[in-house]
Amino acid sequence: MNIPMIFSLLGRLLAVYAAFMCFPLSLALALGEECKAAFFFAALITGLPGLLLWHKGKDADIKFSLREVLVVVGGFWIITALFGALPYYLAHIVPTYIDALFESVSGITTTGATVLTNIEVLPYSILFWRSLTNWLGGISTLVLFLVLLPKSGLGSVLHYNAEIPGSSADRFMPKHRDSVIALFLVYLVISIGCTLLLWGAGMSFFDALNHAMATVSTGGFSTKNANIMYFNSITIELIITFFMILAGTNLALVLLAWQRKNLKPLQNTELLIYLLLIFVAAVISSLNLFFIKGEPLLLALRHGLFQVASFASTTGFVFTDYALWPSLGSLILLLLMFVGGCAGSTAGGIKVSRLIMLGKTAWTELRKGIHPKAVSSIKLDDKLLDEDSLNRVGIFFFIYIVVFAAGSILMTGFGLEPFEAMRAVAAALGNVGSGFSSVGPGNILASISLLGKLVLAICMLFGRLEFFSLLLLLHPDFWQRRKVW
Amino acid sequence: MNFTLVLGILGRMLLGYAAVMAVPFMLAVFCQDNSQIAFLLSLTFTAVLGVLLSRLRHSVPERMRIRESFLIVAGAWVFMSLLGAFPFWLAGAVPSYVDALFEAVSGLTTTGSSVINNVEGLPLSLLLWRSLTQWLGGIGIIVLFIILLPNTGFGAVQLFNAEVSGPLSKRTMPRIRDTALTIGRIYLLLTASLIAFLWFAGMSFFDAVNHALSTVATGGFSTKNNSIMYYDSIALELILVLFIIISGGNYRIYLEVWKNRSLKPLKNGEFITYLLIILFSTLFIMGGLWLKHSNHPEYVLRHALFQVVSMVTGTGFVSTDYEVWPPFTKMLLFVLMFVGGCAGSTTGGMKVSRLMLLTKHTWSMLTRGLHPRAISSIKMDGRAIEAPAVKMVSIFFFLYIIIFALASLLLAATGLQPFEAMGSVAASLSNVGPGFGKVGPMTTYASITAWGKCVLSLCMLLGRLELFTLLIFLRPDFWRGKGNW
Repeated sequence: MNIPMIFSLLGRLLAVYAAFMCFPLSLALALGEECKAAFFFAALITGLPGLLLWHKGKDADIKFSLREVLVVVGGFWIITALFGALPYYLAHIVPTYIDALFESVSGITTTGATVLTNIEVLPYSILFWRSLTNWLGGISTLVLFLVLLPKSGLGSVLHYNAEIPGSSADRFMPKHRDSVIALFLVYLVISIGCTLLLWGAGMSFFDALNHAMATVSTGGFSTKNANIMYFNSITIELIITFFMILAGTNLALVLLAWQRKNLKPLQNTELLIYLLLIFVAAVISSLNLFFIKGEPLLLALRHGLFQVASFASTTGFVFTDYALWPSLGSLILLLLMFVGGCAGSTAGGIKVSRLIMLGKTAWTELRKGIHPKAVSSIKLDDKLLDEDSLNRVGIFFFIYIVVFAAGSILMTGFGLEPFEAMRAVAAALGNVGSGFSSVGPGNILASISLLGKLVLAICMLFGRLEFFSLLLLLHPDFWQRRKVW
Repeated sequence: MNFTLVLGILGRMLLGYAAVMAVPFMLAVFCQDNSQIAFLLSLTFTAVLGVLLSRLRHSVPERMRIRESFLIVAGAWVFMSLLGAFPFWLAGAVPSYVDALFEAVSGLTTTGSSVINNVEGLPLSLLLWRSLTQWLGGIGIIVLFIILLPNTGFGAVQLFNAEVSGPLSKRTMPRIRDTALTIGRIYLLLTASLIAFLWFAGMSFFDAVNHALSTVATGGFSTKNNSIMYYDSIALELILVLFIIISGGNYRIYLEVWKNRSLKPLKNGEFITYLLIILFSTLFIMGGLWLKHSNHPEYVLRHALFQVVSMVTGTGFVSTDYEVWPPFTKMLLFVLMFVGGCAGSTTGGMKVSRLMLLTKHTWSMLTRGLHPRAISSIKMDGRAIEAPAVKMVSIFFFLYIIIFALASLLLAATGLQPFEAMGSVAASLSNVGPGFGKVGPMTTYASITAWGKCVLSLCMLLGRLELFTLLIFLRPDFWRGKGNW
């Protein structure tokens, strides 16, 4: 294994991460908050080893293979999680390091679940750091490539990344550095746009910025205990709904449409089904709220649309105490957490495109009953899908459900009722966030045992990494000393 | 589509069915209970229908194609359910025909859910009829999936394809008829010995017969309202546990054991995994129960074992009110419902062999991720499984989960709480019987709405026929295709 190169890359990552920590640090300094020391030390602890590692790997060969990529990718997440917890821990806003780790993992995986019970009393720098981890987590893949290989082309890395079965990011990654930068700009523009609109709609600038960062990354961290319920403003809800749905789509399509100056790239099967699903689910949920719970129609529509959009995009903002939703609505929300957003977006879940592929494959398989020896091909948007991809998707679905089942069993072991446990695990795996019955002071998550929090944190990572990268690290062959890879 | 051929064969089947109905009829006459008329009418109607339909068939032997065979299989279950409902309905044991149909479907699919609140108040003939439908359903399934559709789990769905054996079977016997007869003998032997054991252990002869009929089919209908809990007898529970475990095994293996007069075929990967699943699940549930019941170790062991065995094989007998058990145990039981027993048995669920295959496939994918150019094949008991078979199993898993999700939504819409809804669907799809909450171990399905009962009945059929056999009817080209299929 090319250790020097790994040092170099991971070192660079740490250094950049430390640099980002300086943003909340400056905020803390400017506002004279007590936790400025926490951020200072956090940045130091992150940055120094980073620079050291970078230096050590300075003369490394830029020769890497699949193993190096895996270590770097896996390492990226583990590092950002571990070091990102430092500000919380050092500032003593959480009782233990595990809690801090949970909050950090939740941020960087764009989940958005929190163990904090009183968010509004936290210093602004801490709140900013939370939302920042969301935002960074959203473009993590882009950041990864930009940071790691500033000079060489990305093609070769992608070649190896594509070997990792199942990771959806690789299929939608642009092949050139320019496209990566363009995507980043799209992300930035959308974030700024969202901030300005929210500010205009009545949020304070600070709140607008934080919520925009959490929205565009489909993260879901809020600066208020009551989440979006606090604002109670239709305009704000609609703005956020729009951006949540947007964030759940494949931004590369938006980029293409912009570049070609026409709407044709948006005629995408996955996008259409994603939007259709949101529409149907919102309608059914609203009707369910109206008829069964007896909410006034307008309120039911507001609640239905927002909550469905929030879960479908796996953002996780909460507009209503959806624990009080009637049975059908609750189940719809649960299922939406599995479906997730579009592939190539910041959203989590199984991804709409995978489900479409599985559905088409299922339809073809049925045909085999009539024509056992027929050979058929499956297309998605005129692109032929090969056997291998379909196989991977099938296994991904299997792993997702199995991990979900195992996680749910574990969480019931920690005392949750079966449905609560399922919601919690689905929310973690799908990086949604709000799987839990209450937000704010009644936060169930805060009272789960440390082991339970750890399990959920692992689920969040598994979901974000789409299993394979982490699982491959567990395979014994990975660690074998082999000469040829 | 040769409907006359299909109906002709179904007609002959109905004649046999009418003959079976004669048995409870004779019992009714003997006991002079008030269901005599009901049985007389049902059996006459069935017989007449059978005669009429079988006349449709021309005397010239026709070639049966794959399509007709699917229609025959589905038609058999549907007709037998529709007609099997008549005794219940005509005797006034249920409020409506939908209820009667639910009971009949539950019987024939060996599910074991009931809508009858006071089973003990039923005339003996109706009780016998219930158990008989399960017994018939059980042997029907074994014959179907071993002889007629041996490859459903592992590849093409083809009828009369005993020549092309599945991965777990070898050339058992040269003639289909002999195989069927031997299976019948084994089934009968198991039933008879169980009757003897149960009777000897204290059950009345009538109860012993009924419970034996229902156990060997892994059905779950009991003559008592509280199922096995009524007896509170360790001896009975242990006998049942033994026979349920046996009934969950693969009849292909039993055929080998019978033919070769040796126990060697039992050393089968799937069978061993099945036993291990039972062992470990029991241990886990014991662990879960221990905290609450540590002063009753006998309770813990006895009921953990019984419930695990009962749920995983989809039998559905109840030895204790598990509704009051801790969430961890209920979640585990819920997941076990999906697992099922061995392929080639009367159990429901996805079947152990399928899950084993998917797990091996996952591992193989990971290995291939690390060694992209390696050629690996997945083996079960030393035989390689081809790619198309693996694909079919992934798709089966996918469809199972999707159907489960959609049906759960429908049941939630009828008013069940989320976990109740999911439990009822899982219990139906996997042909288990009791669920949780409103359809828990101590109650019946009587309180479900008519629409809900229809959905659940459909789920029972889908699950019993392993999805594809019924889903194939959704394809338009099934109905109007040309060619030799």
